[in-house]
Amino acid sequence: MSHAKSDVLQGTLDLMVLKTLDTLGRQHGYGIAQRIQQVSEDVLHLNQGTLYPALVRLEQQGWIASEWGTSENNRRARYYSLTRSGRKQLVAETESWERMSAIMSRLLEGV
Amino acid sequence: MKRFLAIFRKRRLDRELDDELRFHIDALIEQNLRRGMSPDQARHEAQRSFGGVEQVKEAYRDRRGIPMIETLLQDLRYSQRVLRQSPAFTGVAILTLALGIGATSTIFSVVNAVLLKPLPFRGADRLVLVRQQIPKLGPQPMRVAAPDTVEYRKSEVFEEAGAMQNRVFDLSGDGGPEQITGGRVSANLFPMLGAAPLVGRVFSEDEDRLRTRVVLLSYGIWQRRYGRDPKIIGRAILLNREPYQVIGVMPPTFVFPQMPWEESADLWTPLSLSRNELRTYLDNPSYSVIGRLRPGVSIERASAEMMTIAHRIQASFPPQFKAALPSDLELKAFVAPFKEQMVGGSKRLLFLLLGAVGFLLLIACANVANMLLSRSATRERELTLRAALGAGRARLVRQLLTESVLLSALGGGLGILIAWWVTGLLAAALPGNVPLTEQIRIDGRVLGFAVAVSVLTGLLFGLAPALAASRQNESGRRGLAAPSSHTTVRTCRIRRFLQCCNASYLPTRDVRPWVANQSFDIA
Repeated sequence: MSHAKSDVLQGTLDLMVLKTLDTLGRQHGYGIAQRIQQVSEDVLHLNQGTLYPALVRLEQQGWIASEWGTSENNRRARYYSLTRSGRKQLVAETESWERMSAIMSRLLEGV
Repeated sequence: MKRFLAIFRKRRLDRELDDELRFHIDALIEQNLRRGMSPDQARHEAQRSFGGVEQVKEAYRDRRGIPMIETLLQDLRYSQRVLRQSPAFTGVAILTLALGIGATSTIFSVVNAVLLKPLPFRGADRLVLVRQQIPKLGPQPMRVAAPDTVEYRKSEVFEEAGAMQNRVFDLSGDGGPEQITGGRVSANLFPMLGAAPLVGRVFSEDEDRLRTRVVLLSYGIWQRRYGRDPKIIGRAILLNREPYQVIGVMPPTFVFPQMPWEESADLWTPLSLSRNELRTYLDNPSYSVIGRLRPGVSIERASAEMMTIAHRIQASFPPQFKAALPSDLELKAFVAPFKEQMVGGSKRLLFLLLGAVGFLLLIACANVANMLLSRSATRERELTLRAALGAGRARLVRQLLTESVLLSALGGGLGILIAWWVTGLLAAALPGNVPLTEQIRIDGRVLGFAVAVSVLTGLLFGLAPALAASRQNESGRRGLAAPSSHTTVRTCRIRRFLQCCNASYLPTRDVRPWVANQSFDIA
C-alpha cells in the first residue's frame, strides 16, 4: 500500500492549510494535520512536522493569526485561524489551482 | 517588526515552539494508544508520522527571524571570540587602525570646520568683500582707501555694509607695554555679522561718529592680559598712551578678521574716520568693505555695480591729481564671497594634509591586511573544518569580513577618541594663516565620516585576505593536512603586492616635510 502514497506537492501545503482552517475554523496544528490526513484518506504522505514552518510562513504573510488557548483535553495549545486577507488569498489560490488542474487533466486526457 | 523582535525573544519563542510540538506529538501518541498500540509502539509511530523534530525546529527558526541579522550576530560573537584569542595581533591591528582613522578624522574635522561649515556669521552665504584692482599696477587685488569706503558702502546692492581697518596699537597700563593688533570697525559691523558680546555691549553709531574713545576686547586678550576680570568693563586702558574705556568683551568663538593678509585683532575700536583720512585719494588703501548682499543679488551684478562706483571715484579725482596719473590707468572693483577670501588660501594645504593622512590610513590598511594574510595560514585548518561542516565560500568570506570590520570598528572607536583629544591641541599646531581653527570640533559630520571610514577600511583590508583564505580553503578541502603549495604561492603574491604598496609610499614619506614647508608659503 505504501507505494501508492503521494508526497505533498510543493506549494500545495499552504492551500491545504488555508482550506482546512476555512472549513474547521479555529484549530491547532494537530487538528489541521489530522484533518488533512482524514480527507486524503491516508493516501497523502505528510510529515506532520513540516506543517509548522508552513504555519509561520502563512502567519508572516498575514493570512492566518495565532493565539494560545486550551485544548479539549485541557492542555495549552496554539490555535490558528484564518484572517480576512487569508480568506481572500484562499479564493485566489483556489481559482488558480482549479485552472491549473483543469489544464493538467485536459492535457493528460489528450495523450 | 515581529520578525525583528523575534531575534531578541529567541529563548521564549523556542520554548513556545517546544510546547507546541510536544502537544502535537503527545496527541498523536494518545491517538495511537486509543487504537490499541503498546506505549512504545505508540511513541515510535507518532515520531514516524511527525518526522524529524530537530529539522522542523531548524526550518521554523530560519523562517521566524531575519536570517541575515541572525548570522551577523552569530558572526560577531564568533569574531569577538577569535579576536580575543590572539590579543597581541588584535591589539597591534586596532592600534594601527586607530592611528590611521584618528589622523584622518582629525584632519577631516579641520576641513569640516574651515571649508565645509558655513561661517559663524549671520547670512554668511551672502557676505562679500569689496576688492579693488589697478591692472596697470599688477593683478593683485587691493583694499580700499578711506574716503572710498563711504562710496562703496552706500551701494544699493547691499542690505547692509560695514568697513574696518587693522592697525597696530601700543597697549600699556595694567602690566608691561606691548604691541597688539587692533581692528577699527564701523559701528554697524558686529551687529551685521550677528556677533554679540560675551559681556558688555558693542559700539553705538554715536560713538563711531563722535570719535568716542571706547574699546571692545577679544576673549583672547581678556584672558591673557586681564585674567578674565569681569570688572574690566568701564575701566580705561591705554592705547597709544590715550585712555580708552572698555565697554565689552567678545566671545571666544568670535575671531575677526581672519583674512590671509590680515591678522585677527586683539581688540576693536570704532572706525571713526578722521577728516584727514577722508581727504586722501587712492592713498593708503588699507580698509576693507564687508557687505551683505540683498537676497537675489548675484555676485556678478554686485561686481558690475562696484565697477561703476570705482569709475565714478576715479572721475571725481581733482584735475591736478588726475594729471599726475598715467592716462590709461583704470581703477576696477568687484566683490568676492567673504568665505572664499577667508579660506581660499588654506584649501590647498588642507586637501594636501587630508591626502597625506589618507595615504597613512592606506598604509595602515595594507599592514593590517598583511597581518591578516600571514595569520590566515595558521587558520587554514579551522576554515577547512568549517567548510567541511558545510559552510559555503560566501559564508566564510562573510565571517572573515565581519571579523575585519569588527577590528576596524574597534580601531575607529579608539581613533575617534584620539581625534577628540588631538583636535584640542590642533589649533596651535596649524600654520597661523589657517582661519576658523577655533571652530574645529568633533561634531556629527566628523563622527559620521569616522564611522564611514572605519567600515570602508574594514572592508578594504579584509576583502583580499578573506577571499584568499576562502580560496585557499577550497583547494585545501582535499584534506585537513598540510597546506598545498600553490595556494601558498598565491598568498605570497598578494603579500608581495602589499609590501610594494608600502614601499612605494616611502618616497612620499620623505617628501612630506617638504610638502608641509611648501604649503606654509601658499597663502
